[in-house]
Amino acid sequence: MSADMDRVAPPVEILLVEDNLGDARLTREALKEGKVYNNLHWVKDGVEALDFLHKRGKYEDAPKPDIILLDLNLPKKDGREVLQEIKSDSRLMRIPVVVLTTSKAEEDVLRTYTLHANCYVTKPVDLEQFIKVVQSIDNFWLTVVTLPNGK
Amino acid sequence: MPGRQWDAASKAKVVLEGLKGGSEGAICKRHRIKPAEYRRWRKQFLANIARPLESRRVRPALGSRLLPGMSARVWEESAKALRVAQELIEALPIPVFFKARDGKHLGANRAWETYFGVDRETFIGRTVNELFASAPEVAAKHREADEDLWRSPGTRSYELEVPVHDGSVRHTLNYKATFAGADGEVAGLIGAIIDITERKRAEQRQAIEHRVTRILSESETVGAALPGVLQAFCETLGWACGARWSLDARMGGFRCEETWSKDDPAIAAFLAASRESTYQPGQAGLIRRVLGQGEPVWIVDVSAEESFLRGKPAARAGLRSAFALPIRLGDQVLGALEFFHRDTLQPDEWLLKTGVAIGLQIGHFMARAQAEGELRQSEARFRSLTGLSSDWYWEQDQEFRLTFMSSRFVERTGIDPAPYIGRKRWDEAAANLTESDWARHKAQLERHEPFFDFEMERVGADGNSVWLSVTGEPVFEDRKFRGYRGVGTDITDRKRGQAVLRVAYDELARSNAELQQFAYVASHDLQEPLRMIGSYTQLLERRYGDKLDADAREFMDFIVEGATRMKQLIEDLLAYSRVGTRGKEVRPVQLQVALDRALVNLRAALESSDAHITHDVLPEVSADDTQLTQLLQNLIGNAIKFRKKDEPLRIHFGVQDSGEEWRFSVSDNGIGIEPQYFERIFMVFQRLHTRDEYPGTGIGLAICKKVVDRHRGRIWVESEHGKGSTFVFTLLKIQKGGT
Repeated sequence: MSADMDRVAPPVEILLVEDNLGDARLTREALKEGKVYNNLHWVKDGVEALDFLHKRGKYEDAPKPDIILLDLNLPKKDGREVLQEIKSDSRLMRIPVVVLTTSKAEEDVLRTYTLHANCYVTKPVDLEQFIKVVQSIDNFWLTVVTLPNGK
Repeated sequence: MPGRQWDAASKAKVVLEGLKGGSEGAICKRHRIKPAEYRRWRKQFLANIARPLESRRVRPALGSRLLPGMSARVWEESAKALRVAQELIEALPIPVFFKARDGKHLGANRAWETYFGVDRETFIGRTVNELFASAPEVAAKHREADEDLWRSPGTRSYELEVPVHDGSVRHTLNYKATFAGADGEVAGLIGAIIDITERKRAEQRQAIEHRVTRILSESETVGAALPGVLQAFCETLGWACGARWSLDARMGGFRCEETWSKDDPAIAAFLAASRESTYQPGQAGLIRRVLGQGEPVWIVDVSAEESFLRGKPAARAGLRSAFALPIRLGDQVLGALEFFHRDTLQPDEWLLKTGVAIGLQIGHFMARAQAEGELRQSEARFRSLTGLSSDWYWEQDQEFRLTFMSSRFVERTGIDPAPYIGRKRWDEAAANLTESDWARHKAQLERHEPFFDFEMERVGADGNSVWLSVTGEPVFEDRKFRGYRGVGTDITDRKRGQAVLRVAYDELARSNAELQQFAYVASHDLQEPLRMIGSYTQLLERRYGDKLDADAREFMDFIVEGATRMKQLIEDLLAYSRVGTRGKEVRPVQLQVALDRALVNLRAALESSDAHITHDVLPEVSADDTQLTQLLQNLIGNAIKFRKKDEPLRIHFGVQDSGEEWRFSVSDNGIGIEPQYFERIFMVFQRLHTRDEYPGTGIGLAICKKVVDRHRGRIWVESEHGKGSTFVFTLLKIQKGGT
């Protein structure tokens, strides 16, 4: 949890759907170094992600996320299915989704495009790069995603 | 008794004794008369007897002199009856004659005179010996019959061939009856001759034709039949020898084929000489004329016929007359028959007609024999074909019931066809065919269409599947559908082979798909641990770098660098594996478009290297445009990468028309490649330089080769170390109507 105390705005609610502990931790570490005050919610598979989004079971009190970081290869229900459900649900479809992929494989990219992800990001091996990616998400949120709130 | 006065009646009595068969010497001695006187009396007597036949005028004096004691009234009645009989006999169209007891002629009617060409008046008193002076055997036969009559009076009839007025021989039926004199004793005979030549000849012709028909019906070939036919003709009609000549229309010659002769060495030699030669058609010669005109030819005397080439040898063999006739079938002349006679004979119309009839019979036979021969040959060909083929032959009737199956079927399939005879193809199940398949097949047969390679999976004798493929065509006779016939093949081995191939192909396809999946999953899953290694090493350095010494930081750099390079290798490998399996459809592409796209992708590198790129006019090619762009990008990228540092880079993309294919080349003035590496550079991850000198994994040219391979082209390099390289690849030209 970053504590940029200069900000008075409410924290950005981020839902990270990621089964890999290492990647999850890296995302958390990268966000720590970022500028955005955020609440990172971490779920480990697609089913949990949808429970979170639909406020089911233990996620009854979960907030509606401002942005979703979605890994494609997940247990139980994979990222593509999750993305499809989000985009076909009128209450969720406006939530920006950043798809995190492991490789540049064309197929992933294309599939994601047809599913209308807002953004796709290949997870780099280089930490510096990854931090840049997360920071770009910061920027993305600050510039584009805040627009609905500004209405 | 000298000086005795003989009256007419007494003289007649004496003469009658002689006519009844009495010896002249004995009569003369008994009556004491001189033989000359006896003969004079007899001549006078016979003249008086015959007179009524010469003249219509009745001579009463005759009766009164011959038959003493006859009353005038009886005489008148007798004379009247005699006159009617005489007129009747004279008017008869058949020859009639009278003979006395001693064989001397008493007279004859006009028909007799005409028949033999003899003057009846002068012939009176002569005998049959003089009538047939040239044919003594005929005279002897007549005498023999007469003697029989004298011995046992009454009537007789017998047949005899006799020469007549024109020298020809006629077949006669002779009726003879004795008549008695006034004393009741046999005084002579009356004979009638009926000419039965025509009837005889008709019988003869029928007999010959019958015999020829029988011979022909019992023979298979003309060659086998002809000697018998010639023999029948010659034997029946008394000709010495005969021969058949064949006409070879193709060669334009004719040849003596079969001969027959009665045992006679001279004739046999003549015929042998005929057989040894081949003749050419023309106008002269016996056979030439027959073949040329298609009409019979008669030669009265071969030795006198100049145009008959074999005339002299024939005459030496004792042959005189010859005739020949054509063997015809309709208007077509197939050959000729010739016959020779030992005698000189005038043309005989009847004989010629008989010969022509036989010629026709032989012509029909030859046509039939030829047709049968052709049929046999065709059957033999068919048998040898079916014998050599592994296929079997089958037939169906108009109800599509199997009527015949050649033995090859059971040999090939092990299935006994007997239970299937009389059944339809669809009466037995075939594992591979549905009801609708059968319905389609049935419909095709009902339309009387031919069908090809109709495949059926049947159950064999051992319970295993037997695959049959049948092909058939409809059979029509007189435009009427008669059924089907065709061939069948056992395709079980082929089907099994196909099944094995299919399994292998499916296995290969599955294995390929698995490999592809594996490459993807492997590369994906390998990257996760790599990322962990790289990222956390960096996080360590970032957070705790100030607590580590320089060595530790360097080690950590190596860890990060290794992980980074491994990630690149994995990505490259993935890209390489995708060339073959994830390529797009090949379609017409403007090569210029692909080049432009490649140059855009290389823009940064081009700007930094200050490369000068030229190219020929580029054609349209058939290709996967993405892969084509990649190919050009890799080749030009290599040219940029391996440029000389001290020389401006020049790259030329050239095109050459090479017949069925295009030949493209990317030439540079870079560092070049040593020949020993020409092959190696196209292999995966093969590098000629260290990563320090030139970065990269060594996948670029391997991908180029795979792209070109997939487009059924070739790629190679031409280079001299230090003087640049030219990478050449070929692409098939766009074929009209397909890719």
